[in-house]
Amino acid sequence: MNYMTLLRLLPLFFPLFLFGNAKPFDFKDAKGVNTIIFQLDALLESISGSAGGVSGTVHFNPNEPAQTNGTIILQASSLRVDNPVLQEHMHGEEWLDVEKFPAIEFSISRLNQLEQKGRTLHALAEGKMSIRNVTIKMNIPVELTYLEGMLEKRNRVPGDLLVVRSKFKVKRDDFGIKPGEYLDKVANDIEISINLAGAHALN
Amino acid sequence: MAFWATSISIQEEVPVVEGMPELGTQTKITWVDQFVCGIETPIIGFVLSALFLFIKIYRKRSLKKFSGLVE
Repeated sequence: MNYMTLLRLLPLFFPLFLFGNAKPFDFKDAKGVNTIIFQLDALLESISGSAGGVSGTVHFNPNEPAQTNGTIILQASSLRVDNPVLQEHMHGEEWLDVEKFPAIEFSISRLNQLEQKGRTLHALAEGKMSIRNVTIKMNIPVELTYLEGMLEKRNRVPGDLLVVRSKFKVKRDDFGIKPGEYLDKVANDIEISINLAGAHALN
Repeated sequence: MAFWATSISIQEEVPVVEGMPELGTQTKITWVDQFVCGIETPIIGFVLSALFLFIKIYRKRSLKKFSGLVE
């Protein structure tokens, strides 16, 4: 292979440099601020709570944001409400069964409908949500803010930050959680609000 | 309407990067142990008050009947 042939082939390899540059962002927050908030508004009762057991990795390339992929994992036993009896029922085998199904996962395969507004990238995350071993394809609206070099100011470690925000609803009957039962007290629609910061440490 | 609770959540907006709130904030949630009475407290109070009132009226009427019999 001569020098000219190599020059002709070089543009073919150029996209590989772009795609291969995705940075892994770890969502296990050392500061313990990463939290998911949930709310269920039924006719007779309103249940709200939070969960702090967030982990997972998202691969993000600021030059190719559409190729963003990865998984956000929530430890099901970290779901917390203010009433201990309610929490025990929620973790119990009739509802979430956190011993048998310890993780709630959302796997992102790509981002669609991207729109940059200032520092924030608005998109529709295409992926799969898994709760109680039931996996459903979902498109979730997300807002991503890439903060280059800001990890040092947050965690005293050189690197970048990726902030992921989203508000969406899941239906408990889609995941086989007591479908059609107790709808007056436990709403079918679960409103989820996430506001997570992922860290990409250099080295 | 809600039942009793043994803890409350305190939500606080903290900057993603310390000292730079213009880059965005995150909601920090802290759970604090605290008893909060719910809807069951006034219901139990009402039921107990009604029960005591009923017993008092019943006893008063029984005493009236008894004094009428003695006379």
